[in-house]
Amino acid sequence: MYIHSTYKFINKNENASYYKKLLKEVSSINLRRSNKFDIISVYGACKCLENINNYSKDLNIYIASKHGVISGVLKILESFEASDNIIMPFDFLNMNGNNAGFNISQALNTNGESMLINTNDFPFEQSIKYAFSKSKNNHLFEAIVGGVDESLSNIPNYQEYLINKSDTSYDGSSWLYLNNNRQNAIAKIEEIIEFISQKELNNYLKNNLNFEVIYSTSIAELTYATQNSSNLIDTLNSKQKFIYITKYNDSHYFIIKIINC
Amino acid sequence: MANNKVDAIKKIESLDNTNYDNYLKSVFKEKEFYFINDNFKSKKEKFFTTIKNVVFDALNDANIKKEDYRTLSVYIGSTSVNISVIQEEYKKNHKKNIVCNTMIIDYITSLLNLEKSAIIFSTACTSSANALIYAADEIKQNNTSKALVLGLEFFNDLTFGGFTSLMLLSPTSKYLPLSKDSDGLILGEACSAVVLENKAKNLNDFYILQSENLFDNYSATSSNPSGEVIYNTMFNSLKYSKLTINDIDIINTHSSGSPSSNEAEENALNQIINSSTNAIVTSIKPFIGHTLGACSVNELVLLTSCIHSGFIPNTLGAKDTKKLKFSKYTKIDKRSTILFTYNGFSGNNLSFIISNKD
Repeated sequence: MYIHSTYKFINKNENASYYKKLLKEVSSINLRRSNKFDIISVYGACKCLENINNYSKDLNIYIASKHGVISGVLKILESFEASDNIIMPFDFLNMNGNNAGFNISQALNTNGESMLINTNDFPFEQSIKYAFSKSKNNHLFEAIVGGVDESLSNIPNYQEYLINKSDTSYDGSSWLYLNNNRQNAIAKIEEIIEFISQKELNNYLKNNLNFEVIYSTSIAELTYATQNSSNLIDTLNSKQKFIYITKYNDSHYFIIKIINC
Repeated sequence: MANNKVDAIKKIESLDNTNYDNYLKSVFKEKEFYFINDNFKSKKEKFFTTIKNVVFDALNDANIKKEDYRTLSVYIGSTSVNISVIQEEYKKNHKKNIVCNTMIIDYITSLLNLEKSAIIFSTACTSSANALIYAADEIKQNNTSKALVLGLEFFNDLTFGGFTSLMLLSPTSKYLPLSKDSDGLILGEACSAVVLENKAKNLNDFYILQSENLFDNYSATSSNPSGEVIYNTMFNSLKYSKLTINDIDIINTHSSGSPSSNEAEENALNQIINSSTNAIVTSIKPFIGHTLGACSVNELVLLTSCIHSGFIPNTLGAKDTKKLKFSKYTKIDKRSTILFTYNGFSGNNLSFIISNKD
């Protein structure tokens, strides 16, 4: 599976209007009533494909997120409590994280599958692994995979989610465009493997000594899906052959083996 | 309906159109909603106790040894995930805190002492179907040898209120699968689990053949009435499985209840079914309601359990059309090939085929 294009941004907490303005520059889609999670997802996906003219109509869309539409959930909780138990239709629809995939499909005019994947430890890596698995069965496979998380600064007591309580919580949307065509590719993803012990990982690395080992580091756990995808994009720009390792704890690792084209 | 699979299957076997209305009267008490029959002190207790019971029942049923729990790959399909608990905790904490929507992952990981974290699929009504298909793909590609797929959906005011606000709930509160008289959905809560392995353990174990997942960008809340995308998902899952519609014994329809979704699905079925098709059409939703993201795993568990018990259930509330012949209670030899079709919000469509025939 080959990487053909990348895009990333990580910002301090901005409101949805800020991103709507940015989105208008790259897409005519109208997301007037959408939440920030959807808008930054669509914006990142559109930017990733901004210079790709011939992506397939069957393009698949995989969104990885640790917290998903958490501010959408908070909004509906607040309005439910404040409005005598009435739910507004758009608040309800905005609670559905997979709406982001629908909006991306609308913006890009595609009809491949769309998926939101949540995990606690490796959301972005799991989404790439999902794409990798699907790509093996289909030589025409194409996908964009994004790590998306919105800042939790507006969530009550959000520091409880952080490893370091003083960390800043960021908005982020980082994307890769992938297919099985080597021509004009930036890099090839050779392997994606999950290890459940340091010993297994070390054995693997011993057999891959000609690859540089890069450990991903998160600046804040809150931007987990975003940060790991963003770090991977940075590494793509600076290294030739590398094994990108994300560590969740002392016994749980995820590696992506990459060769630049 | 019941607190365990055996009682649920007995109940399903006992129901037909003559006692359907009485069944609904017994089910709908506080609300027109299919609730789990249990008295819990809190939504939190209901959520975690139910999941725990389902997980261990499924693992015991599949004879998975306790020492192998930690190596399981766990995939969860749900739309609301733990919103019922989030809402309760939010109130309890005087609106000062909301809990993480991935708390279910921590719980399952700790319950089974998992080496790898569970993954949640959120693709509206196809959530647990996507979880199931990914688990099957991971097994086929030798990335894992055993997987637990969990479908869960629990009553919460936000989902119920959301569907009410969209005016998608049935005012007459009776499922009439794919009928032109159907006037909406009736929601339900349920939790079920499937254990997948790389080898059959019993003669009648089902094998997951192939699937297709396609996107319909017609509307965020309804399918294209032409049914084209639903047809394509079914057609491709047959093609990838190297089968034709004539190899299918049962088509488990989504039958969501909403008139537009019903129209789309009926159009798709009318296209795929031909004059020599023997497949009967069924829907499990009249028994348990629409359990949203969990519906595929819930319905798969109930339908395959009925077949393992030697019968095909009645399709309550359904009327045959020129092309669609709905299931009537029939004794069978515990073997079948089943096509499942699902569609949902945000344009998600998925079809897959299972079989326990040679």
